[in-house]
Amino acid sequence: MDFTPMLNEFAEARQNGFILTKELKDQGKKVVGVYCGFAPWEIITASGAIAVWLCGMSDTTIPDAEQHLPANLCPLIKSSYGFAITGKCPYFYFSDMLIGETTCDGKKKMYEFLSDLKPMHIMHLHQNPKAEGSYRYYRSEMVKLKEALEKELDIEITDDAIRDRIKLRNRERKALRNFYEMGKMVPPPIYGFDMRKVIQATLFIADKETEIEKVVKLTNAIKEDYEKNGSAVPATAKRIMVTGSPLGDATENIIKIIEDNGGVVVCFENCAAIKDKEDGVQETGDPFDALTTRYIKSGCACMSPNDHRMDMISHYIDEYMVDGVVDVILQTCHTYNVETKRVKDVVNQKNIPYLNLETDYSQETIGQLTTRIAAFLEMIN
Amino acid sequence: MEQKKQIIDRFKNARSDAVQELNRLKKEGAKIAGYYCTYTPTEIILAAGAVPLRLCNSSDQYVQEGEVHLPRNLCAIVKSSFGEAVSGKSPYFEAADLVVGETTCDGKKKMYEYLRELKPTHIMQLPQKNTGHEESLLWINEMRRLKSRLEQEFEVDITIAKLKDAIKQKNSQRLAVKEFYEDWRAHPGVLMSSEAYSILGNFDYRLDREKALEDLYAMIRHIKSGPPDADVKEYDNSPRILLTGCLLGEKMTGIINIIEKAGGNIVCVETCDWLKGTGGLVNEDMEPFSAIAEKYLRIPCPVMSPNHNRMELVARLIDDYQVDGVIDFVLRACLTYSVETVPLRRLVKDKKHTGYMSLETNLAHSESGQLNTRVSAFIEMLSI
Ligand code: SF4
Ligand code: SF4
Repeated sequence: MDFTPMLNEFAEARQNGFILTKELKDQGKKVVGVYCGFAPWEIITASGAIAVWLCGMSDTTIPDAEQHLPANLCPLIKSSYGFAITGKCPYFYFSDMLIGETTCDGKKKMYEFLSDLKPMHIMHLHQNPKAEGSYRYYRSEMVKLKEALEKELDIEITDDAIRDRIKLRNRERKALRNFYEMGKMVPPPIYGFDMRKVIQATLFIADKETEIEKVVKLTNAIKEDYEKNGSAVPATAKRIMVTGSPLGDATENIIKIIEDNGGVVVCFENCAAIKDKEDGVQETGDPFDALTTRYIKSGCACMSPNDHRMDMISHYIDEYMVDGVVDVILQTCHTYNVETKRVKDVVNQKNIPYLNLETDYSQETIGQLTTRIAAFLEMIN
Repeated sequence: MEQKKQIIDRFKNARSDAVQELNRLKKEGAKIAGYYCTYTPTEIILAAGAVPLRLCNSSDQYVQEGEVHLPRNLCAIVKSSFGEAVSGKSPYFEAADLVVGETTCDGKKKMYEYLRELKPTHIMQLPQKNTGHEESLLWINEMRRLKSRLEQEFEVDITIAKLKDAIKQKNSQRLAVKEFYEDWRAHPGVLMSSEAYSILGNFDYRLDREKALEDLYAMIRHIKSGPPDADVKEYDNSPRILLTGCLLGEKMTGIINIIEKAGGNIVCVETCDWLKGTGGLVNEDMEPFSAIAEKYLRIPCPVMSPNHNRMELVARLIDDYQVDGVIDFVLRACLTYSVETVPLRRLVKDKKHTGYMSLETNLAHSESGQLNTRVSAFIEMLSI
C-alpha cells in the first residue's frame, strides 16, 4: 500500500485546520490559543473549547514585530508577536482567549503585550522541577488555569471532563509513540522530514478521534510497505537525533539538509515531539495531581536544573542507536543555548559526535549551515 | 573632619580592599557566602554568622574567559561572572565557601548550573511574579531552604534571635543609605553625582561593614555642614536625570561622568546597587522568614511578570525628583530589561511627558565614544 497520500493529508492539516476552525467557531465553539506545552491540553479542551497552536514558525512577520520588540530576540517570539499584531494568523484571529506560560524571559515579557490584544491568562511556572514547593505551586497554577477558562468562557469544567480528555490524550500519545518509534528500525522506514510533517500536523488537528485513527492507519501502512518493499532510506544513512529549541517551518530545512547529505533523522527530542509523548497521564484519581505529576517532568531548558532532558537524550541515543546529535538553537534562546554545553557533555560521554547550530528563521543563515552539516555527516564516517 | 576625598576613596577601593579583608577573615575562620543578585536575602547569611560577599561581576574583565564555555550572545554580567568563577584567578570567588544564586533571568539561571561544578552552590527558586499567595509561600519556603543549607554547610544554628538581629542590622544600613541620598539631594553643591554613586554603588561591596557605615554617616555630616565644593557644578538649570536599567557596576562611574560632562544633573538612580536594592525595609515585627521574603519579593526587577512595581517606582521618582529625562541602560542580550523598554518608554514619554532614552551597551570600552554622542544629544534636547 502506498502511504504517500495519507502522509500528504497530514501535511495539509494546518491549512485545512483554518477552515475547520472557522466552521467550528461558526457553530458556537470557543477557541483557545496556546503557545507552549506547560498548560495542559487536557484542561483547556475539557472546557469544550478547541485548542489551537499559535507559536510563530515563519519569518514573514518578524519585521512587524521588530517595530515593538528588540531585534535581538528569539525569532519564534518575534514571529508569534508579529502574527498577533498583524492579524495574519487566522488561528490568532479566531481565538477567544490566549494562554501563555512564563517559560523563557523573552516569551514571558512578550506576553505582557499580548494581553492588550485579547483576553489572556498567564500561567506562572516553577523554575526547578525537583525543588520542594514546586509541585504545589505548579498544581495551583493548573487550578488557576481551569478557573480562568471557566470564567472567560463562561463554562464549568468538571473533574470527569478532564479525566475524559486525559484518556483521549493518552490514546493519542500512544498512537504517536508507535509512529515515532518506527525511527528505531534499521533502516527507518521513512525520512525524518516526513515524520515531522505528522508531528506538526497533530498540533493543528482538533478532532483527536479521527487523528488517532489516521495515525494508526498510517503507521500500519508504513510498516506493511516496509515488510514488502523495504525502505527508501539506505541502510548506510547516518542516524541523527535532532534536539534543541522548537523547530519552526523555517528551520525544517535543516532536516532536509541533513537528509540530503547522507543522514536520516530518526529521533526528534524537541518539545511537542517525542519527549512529550513518552509518559501518559494517570487516568484515575485527582486529575490535577495526575497532570502535575506528568507535566512537571517536561524536559524544557527553562527548568533549572533540567536533568530530565539529559536523561532522555542519553536514553534515546541508545534506544534509537543514534550516530550523531544535532542541537539546533534559535538565536537568543538563552536557556537552550547555555544548556548546549551540558548536552554536548552527555553526547560525548556516549562517544558520539555533537553539532550545535544557531539560527534565526532567515533562509540565508540556513543556507550557510549546509557546509557545516555536510562536514559533520562526513565526519561520522 | 576627615577629607571627603579620603572617605570616598575607601568606597572606591572597596573591591580591592576586600581582598585583604577576605584573607584576614579566612584566617580567623570566617565562612564566606558568595552571592550575585539583589534577591539574595543576606540577612539569613548574616544570621549564620557568615560573611555575604557580592560576586556579581559587571565589568568586562572576565568576559573572554566566560565565552569559552558560554554562548557569546549573552549579557556581559552573566559571561563575566562565570568567566571570573571558572578562571580560578579571582580572589573573591576562590574565597567563597558556598555560592548562592536565584532563578532570576534565563542567562543567570542556566549559568548557575555550571557553578555547581566549581563550588558548593545553592540555588533559590524565585517565582516570576511578585504578588499572590502561592508565590509568597514558595518564596518563604526558599528562605527556609537557604537557612537549612547554610546551617548544614557551616555547621551552625540559625536562631530566630540571630535572624532578628540581622534584620535590624540590615535595616539600619538601608536607612543610612536613604538618609545619605536624601541629604545629598537636599544639599546640592557638596557632592558630584559620580561621587555619590561611588559611595552607594560600592557600599555593599565593603566587607568592613561597621567602618562603611561610619563612613556613610561621616559623609552625611559632611553634606549637611560641609562647605560647598568649588568643583561641584551648579546645576540650577541643568536637566534633571533619572538613571534606570541593568546593573552596570564600575562601568556606571564612567557613564555618570559622561552625563555630568554633557551637563546632565543626575538626581536619582534606580538600579540594583541603588534604589532597587535599598528601597524598603524588612518588617521587624513579623515572623522573620515571612518578613524577609516579603521585602525581597517586592524588588521591582523585570524578571517579574508583570512588573508593575518598577513602573510605579519610576513614575513616583519622576515626580519626587522632578525629573526631566530618563536614561534606561540595557545590557546587550538582556531580554527582560530590553523588552521592558517598551512599556517604560510609554510610561515616561506618554504619561509623564518626560524625556526618555534607552541605551544598549555591552560594557566594552570601545563604546564610550558613541555613548558620549548619544547622551550629549539627549541632554541637549532636554535643555531646549
Ligand atoms: S525557542 Fe527558546 S527563546 Fe524562543 S520561545 Fe522557545 S524557549 Fe523561548
Ligand atoms: S543584566 Fe539582564 S540578562 Fe544580565 S544578569 Fe541582569 S537581568 Fe540577567
